[in-house]
Amino acid sequence: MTNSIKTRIILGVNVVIFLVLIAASVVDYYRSLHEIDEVFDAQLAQTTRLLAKLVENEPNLASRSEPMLIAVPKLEERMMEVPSAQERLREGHKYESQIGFQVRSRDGKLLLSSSNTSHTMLAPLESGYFELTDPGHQWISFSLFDPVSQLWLQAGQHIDVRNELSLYLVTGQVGQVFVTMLLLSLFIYLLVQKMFIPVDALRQQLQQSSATALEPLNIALPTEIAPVQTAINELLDNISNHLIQEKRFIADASHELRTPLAILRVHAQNISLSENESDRQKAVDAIISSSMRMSHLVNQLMALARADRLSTTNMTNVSVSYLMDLALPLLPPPQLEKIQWHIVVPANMTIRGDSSLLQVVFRNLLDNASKYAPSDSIVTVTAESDEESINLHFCNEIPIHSTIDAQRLADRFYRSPQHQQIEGAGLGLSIVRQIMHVHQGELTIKVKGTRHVCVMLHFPKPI
Amino acid sequence: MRILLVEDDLLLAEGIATGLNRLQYKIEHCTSGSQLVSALKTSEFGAVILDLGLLDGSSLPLIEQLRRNGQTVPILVLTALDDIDTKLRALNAGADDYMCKPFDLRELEVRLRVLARRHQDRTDDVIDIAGIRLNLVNHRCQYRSEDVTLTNREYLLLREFMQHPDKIRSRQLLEELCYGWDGDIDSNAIEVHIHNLRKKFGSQFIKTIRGVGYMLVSRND
Repeated sequence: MTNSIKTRIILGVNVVIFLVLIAASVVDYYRSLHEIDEVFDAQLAQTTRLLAKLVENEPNLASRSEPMLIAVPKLEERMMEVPSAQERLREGHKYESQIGFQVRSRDGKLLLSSSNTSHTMLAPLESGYFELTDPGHQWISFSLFDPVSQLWLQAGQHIDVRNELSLYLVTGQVGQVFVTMLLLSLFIYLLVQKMFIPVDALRQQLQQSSATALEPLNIALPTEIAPVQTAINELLDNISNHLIQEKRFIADASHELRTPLAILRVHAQNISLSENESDRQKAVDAIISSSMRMSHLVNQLMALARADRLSTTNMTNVSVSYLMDLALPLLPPPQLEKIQWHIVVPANMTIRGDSSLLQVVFRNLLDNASKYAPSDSIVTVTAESDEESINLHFCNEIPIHSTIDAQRLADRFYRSPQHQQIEGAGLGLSIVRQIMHVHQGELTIKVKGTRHVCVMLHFPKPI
Repeated sequence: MRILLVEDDLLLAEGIATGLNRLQYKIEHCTSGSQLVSALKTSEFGAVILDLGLLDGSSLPLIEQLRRNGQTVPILVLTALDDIDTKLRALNAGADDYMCKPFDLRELEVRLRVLARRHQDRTDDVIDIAGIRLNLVNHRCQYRSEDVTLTNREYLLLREFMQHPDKIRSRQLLEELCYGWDGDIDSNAIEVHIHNLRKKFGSQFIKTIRGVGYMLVSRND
């Protein structure tokens, strides 16, 4: 079976209509046959009654030695080539030879007969309808005894007449069904084609879409298909955003990697041309430093790429203080020691999330806070909850004369101009924001006064 | 040739400076657009190597501003941005050349030389004036078809004079060319080098313009 809905509809509707038409035709056919039988049967009965009246005043009939024959012309051969509209001749009709009548005495002697049935016994000497077979023909006949004239009156009809009529009816019905089906099929085909115009337009527009041209579809569609267009447009929008994101990520990554690569290349060339050990050592140090920067950058890029693709996580209730205990020792010792840590987290406070991802969040935020804060300054981590959310605050001081652009701080690769000399890739907060997004949480940044910056995490409260 | 390198990445700037110094260029380094503007106001440079993404913003408006103010110093943009739109914007803004990171130091040096050639309306890198023939590619110097040996600073000074014949080169410019902004320089250091050059190429070759500086005389009429 084809997968085309259009073909299925056309075929399905046609088959159903065809079956209905056939069933209706069969019922009609049998009902017509029944009615025809009734009419013909009544006609036979009427013919015998007419015969009875006619022979009532013929006293000589019973005394005839030979039966009186009523001539019936044989017109079949002449009618072979004649169209049905011209079958009514001056001489009569070809079917006359198919119809016959007889009058018999009480004891069965043939007294009067149509010439075509002079040698045929149309019916037994009993009243009623009969079906008899003489050599070559089957007759349906009616027999009536007239008590006044004491005669049997019989009229018969070749069953072929009725069969021919049935055949005519069947042929007529089949022709009718065929023509009706043809017209209906054409009509259904045109209707379905018209109905599918919007679907074809949808298909064509989708075929024209490519990764570089993901325009939203805007076709006037029937109510039933409109939601499909809406869903496709949402999908296209998602794909488009994803592609933009990917493109931006690749552009940013390539941009960020070019500078350390340039450093490696320039210093490598300097080594090959250097004439003294001091210059060589300087270049080697620069290469080591740049390769470490690249390594950190690549690690952060990988983490960001992974965070971008997160969709499902192993959500459990995780203790905030447990996360803090895990993340804090991961900081480089000099960073850990240069800060006065002020951590106030309720022991029983939990957030719902993926433990390993939340560790990344905590480590990145503690790393940022301690890295950019001046030595001996205080980094504060506090946690509070309200009716809807758990809120964590990571606050640190910033050096004098430093300015913070809170709007751009979580942008990918953004690094404050004053902090360019501090190692970093500018991706830490982007990674945190992405992980928060996966947790249906939110990251906000607030600058307090001129000397403090706070990164705040808002988690939905565990149920 | 004295080059102003505007690059906020110190490691890269250090590498470029070391490489170009070795190729007889004097590199001055700054990290921001505002420093670039100040430097161009007070000193003369043969070319500027300019990073586009500086700490105090994009350099594109800066290039436009410099050109609007009549600054003609050749500008070579050296950046990690390799998209065609940025290239077109930089060149349309007034940059003379555009190079993407990572790059080859040799290519950077050649492009700087080409920029200088174009700026000085020359067609090749061999300058021939007053019997002196100076090859800027291999640094070979000949006087009346005889090879002349030059010290680094003598080469820097001679190249500056030969690239700007019959034009006064200020004492400050020559000092900065030889010793840079941070150079520890004796009060008569330039005179010593000029004296040595005169000994090698004749006393009339470089004229002293009292109170102003020195000038290479291309024709002795």
